[in-house]
Amino acid sequence: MARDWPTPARGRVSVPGYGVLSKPDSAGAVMAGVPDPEPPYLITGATGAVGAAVARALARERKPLVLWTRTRTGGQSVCETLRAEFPDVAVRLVDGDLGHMSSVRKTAAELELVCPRLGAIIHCAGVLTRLREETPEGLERMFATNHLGPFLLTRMLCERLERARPTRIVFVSAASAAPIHFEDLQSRRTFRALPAFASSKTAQLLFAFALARRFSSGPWTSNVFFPGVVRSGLLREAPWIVRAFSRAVGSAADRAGDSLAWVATAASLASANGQFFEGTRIGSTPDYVQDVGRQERLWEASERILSTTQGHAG
Amino acid sequence: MEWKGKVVLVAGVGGGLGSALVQVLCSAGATTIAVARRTGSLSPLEALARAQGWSFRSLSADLGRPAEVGRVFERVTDEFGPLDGLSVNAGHWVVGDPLLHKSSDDEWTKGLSDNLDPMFFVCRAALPAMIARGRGAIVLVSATERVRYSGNASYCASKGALVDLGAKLAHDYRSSGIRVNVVLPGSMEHDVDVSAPPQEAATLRLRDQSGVGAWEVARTIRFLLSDEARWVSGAAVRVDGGFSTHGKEQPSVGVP
Repeated sequence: MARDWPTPARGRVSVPGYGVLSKPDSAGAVMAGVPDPEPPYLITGATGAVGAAVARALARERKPLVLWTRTRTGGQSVCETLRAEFPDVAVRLVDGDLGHMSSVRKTAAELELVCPRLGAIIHCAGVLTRLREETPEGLERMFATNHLGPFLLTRMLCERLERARPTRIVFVSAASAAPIHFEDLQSRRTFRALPAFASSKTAQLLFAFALARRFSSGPWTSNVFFPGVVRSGLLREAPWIVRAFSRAVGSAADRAGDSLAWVATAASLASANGQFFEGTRIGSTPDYVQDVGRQERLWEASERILSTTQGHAG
Repeated sequence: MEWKGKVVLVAGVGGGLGSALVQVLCSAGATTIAVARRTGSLSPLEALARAQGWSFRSLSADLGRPAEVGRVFERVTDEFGPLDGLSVNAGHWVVGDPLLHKSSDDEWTKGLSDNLDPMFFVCRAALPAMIARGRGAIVLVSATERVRYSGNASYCASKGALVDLGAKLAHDYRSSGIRVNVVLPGSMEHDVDVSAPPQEAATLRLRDQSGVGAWEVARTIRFLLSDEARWVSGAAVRVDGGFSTHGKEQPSVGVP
């Protein structure tokens, strides 16, 4: 067999199973016990610009990560890059299509078994389609991926994760106030790409704030983060004028990633709940999404749609 | 001993030892991946892990098939990155006459392949990531001599081969920071009650005939996989409560 493994540096002591130690007696430090480690941070849409940026920012802080990507092959390169750059940070990869509820159910069930605790759930996944697409379960793709899938995932994890320890739920969104068409949530009657996309983001906000009300007694929190206009792949199917605008005024995702990591980890934000963060500042949200009646109406409608997807096979 | 954040794969969770090992690892805080051929042996562990809040992942695969082992490790490497520990428990007692001249062709070939193939396929799949990382711990499960000698010739030959295989791996991958050890259990319970977590404080009687049980072997494997055992490599560790040294001889088999 080819001896292609790394050889220990000269002058250092190689300990089988323990990598390379600088001194044999550093065992004492190793044995002294490590404080309760950080629970992992779950990031959906980790292949996107903001998702990858926040993953890097958190890895730099030595936070263990669970990256949720639509396909395993799509997540591999992000994962490998992070593992290579931060070899001492645990980076896990799970795959599931957030627009496909049976896929969400399956992956979430595996996830809650392997991660009984999470430090944060950071919803970065988002999709914009030019034409109306339907998932195998008969759902409009943007509504399904941007709202319903994250709704189902969050609800499943909320039910099963340890409630006594804090988990921060952060939705990456924008201050959308595009109305929700409750009578046509799947855009069957009318579909226009940008309004439908904006409605799906409104739905996300309504859910985020509905969740925040349910967490009012702590220690869990639900907040929204607006990264600003970021140059990302999200708008690749948007009209050219929108793409041109985003290219012109958009900022690099790195800064958004740093701010988002701060919202997900800062000790000073432990009790921040139901807030809308614009970068690291607290902004205001449209009245439309603060309406409790509307929040609950969407919650019930979402539950109803999910119950219709229950029987679908993966 | 700090197990939190560590990822260990237990290959072969069909019998009692695998279940016990998953439980002692999980209860210590390790993220434990259990691989078994039948999902039936995994679901009680899943339920237990859920109830206990353990970090647990189950995958089903036939560890005697290289393609399935490859698929499992591809999945595990993507999902978890490199493993901290690996225990290969797959294998079984070979039913048949203990005497070689009375053994059938099938007993011989099947006994060897069922007990040795998973060791080869699983280690081959697991080693590259450990080598790349420069650390890792592997335990292979053999059997104590008296158990080996009382079994079918193929069982004895395969479990004996594992002792040498473990030592060879320990030799070959020492410079990669990988420790490999072999445990030699005495007789063990086959069905571990998954609803009963291990009793750390239980007093055990060292008996002549029966083994000390799957829980005790599991605890030893956990130790060998842990950083506490970082100076232990290439060892073959008997875990039989002294069965091998103090016991009465087995009733003699009728040699014609």
